[in-house]
Amino acid sequence: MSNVLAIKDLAYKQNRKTILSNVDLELTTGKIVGLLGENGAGKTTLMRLITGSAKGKGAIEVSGDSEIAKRKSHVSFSEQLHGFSNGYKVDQVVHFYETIYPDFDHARYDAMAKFLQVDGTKKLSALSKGMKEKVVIALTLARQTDLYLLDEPFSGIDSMSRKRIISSILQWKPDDATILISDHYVTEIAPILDEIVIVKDHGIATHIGADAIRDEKGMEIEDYYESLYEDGGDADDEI
Amino acid sequence: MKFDDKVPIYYQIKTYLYYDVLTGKLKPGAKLPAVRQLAVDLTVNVNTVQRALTEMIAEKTIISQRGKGNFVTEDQDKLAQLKEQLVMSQLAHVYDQLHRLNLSDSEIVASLQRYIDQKGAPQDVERISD
Amino acid sequence: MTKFSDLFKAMSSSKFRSIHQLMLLELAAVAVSSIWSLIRGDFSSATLFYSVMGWSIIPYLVSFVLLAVRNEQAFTRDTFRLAPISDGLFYAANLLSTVVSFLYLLVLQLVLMAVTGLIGWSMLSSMYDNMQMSLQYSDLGSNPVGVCLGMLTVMLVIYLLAWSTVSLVHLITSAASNYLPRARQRIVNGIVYVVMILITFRVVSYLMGQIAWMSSSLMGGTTVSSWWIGVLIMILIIAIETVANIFLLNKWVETTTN
Repeated sequence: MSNVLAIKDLAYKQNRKTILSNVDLELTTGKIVGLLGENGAGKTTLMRLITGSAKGKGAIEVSGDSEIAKRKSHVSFSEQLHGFSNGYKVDQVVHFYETIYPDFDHARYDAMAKFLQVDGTKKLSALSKGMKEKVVIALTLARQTDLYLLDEPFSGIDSMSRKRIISSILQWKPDDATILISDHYVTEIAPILDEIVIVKDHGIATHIGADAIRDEKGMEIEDYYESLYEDGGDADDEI
Repeated sequence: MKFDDKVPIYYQIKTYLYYDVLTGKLKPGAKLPAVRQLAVDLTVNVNTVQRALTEMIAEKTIISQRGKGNFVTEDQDKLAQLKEQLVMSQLAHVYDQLHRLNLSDSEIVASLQRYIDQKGAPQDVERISD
Repeated sequence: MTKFSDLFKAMSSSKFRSIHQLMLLELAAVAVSSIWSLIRGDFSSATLFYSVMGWSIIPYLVSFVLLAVRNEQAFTRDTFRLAPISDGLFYAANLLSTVVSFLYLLVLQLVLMAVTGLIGWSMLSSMYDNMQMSLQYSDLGSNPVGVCLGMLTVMLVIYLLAWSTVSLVHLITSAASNYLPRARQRIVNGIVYVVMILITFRVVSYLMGQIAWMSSSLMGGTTVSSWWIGVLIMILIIAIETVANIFLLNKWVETTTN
């Protein structure tokens, strides 16, 4: 098993405030990894650093490439479509994705959109929060890449939509690809995770196998996660 | 399927599949769903399903045929053994609980007999989820 | 990796959308003012043409701003910036699609003028003859294609310069906003704005002088070779700004968070 992601000594400051420092992280291929941490702990920042959307110090390699443009070709990030005005229809957004991403698989998108009951003729402004997230997930997973970064795909989404999204992740995840899912509420995704990465106090507090927590520690993932916060670790409320 | 997050998921998948085998949902010699299909049906990770299946293959309760898939064993001894295993593990649980209530072994047998009499002929064993 | 042509296509189509919306607004304005003359009772076959001419300055100004906004959005939106392509090609595709969208607007305006002009031709033909007469003795009369191309070039270079400058200001302030503490950020933004406004005034006044001189020399029939120097200077500034912009994009400019 090779590394899909290798981060070494990554640091990031915003407005002279440290958000992340001394981050080392390696992810192997074919995994579903939960990125956990409080709001503002730096989960989104970590993902943005991986895509090159945020600029930090340190080394980041995705599938062996460190150059940002090449890295981008190996990463599919669940961006929230803010580049489109509200008048855009879902199908037009799909067409945009198909044009700029050579690895966009239209048949895969169609299958997912059907499963998630996405109506392509709807305008972006007419989508509910859950439906918009479904569109984002389908677009993100329709690219054939090595690393998928899903940033809080379940925040503010009803449980039916959540279940559908989880099923589509399981069904359409390419075997060799790794998915990093960030969330601050663990329980809803705990059964699908191979590994867990916890961001706390500007760094990676833990990187551990999900069944290792259950097997060796005999703990629920949520309890384990909360136990990390009990021993006086101060949470960080900056973004 | 609902999981208990304290118990390793692969272990729960095994138990789930064994129940399907013993209740006849999966007949001896029947083909198991594909790994990904199982993952989607149970809402768990493909790797976790794979781990559960690997252990079941090692225990020889399912047989892996290269390129064809996984099949429930037709070895009746093996199935009987599996049933015995599951019955014993359920009884162990009950026994343990009753023991904690300071019941003696004979009292436990007696109360179990009483329970069965009251209930009539119980059709199904209740699944104990923890 | 994304091909330059594909990114250009995708960026153009999002900008063409803005142009279409603008054209719809213009057509609505033309319709309203024509209906107004109908109500007042002085509607003629040439009313549409006059109305188009009357409104025509607005689309040029608005499209400049609209395209500048779209141009800058592409730099800070993940929707565009996540495309796997080098920053240099990204910048080029963005600016080129902005220019092409502007040319597209120009063509649409000319079509609109031609169509409404033909509708009112019976009334406009005499005016056209007069114009022909007066132009006959100027440069425009002797070499209309060359002069039109020259004017178009100057116009495009001015627009390019303006867009590059807007980008420079935007990218500097955007980079500064990530790195400096909030208090110092305002100071830097203030300084950048003041410096840029001063420079813009200088450049604009210089350009105005150039254009005034150019049009007088065009119309007056004197030689026009020296105004190319002005164009060259502008192109030089554009080149420097382009290098600076790509550098900023590559090193410091982050996209906005979701």
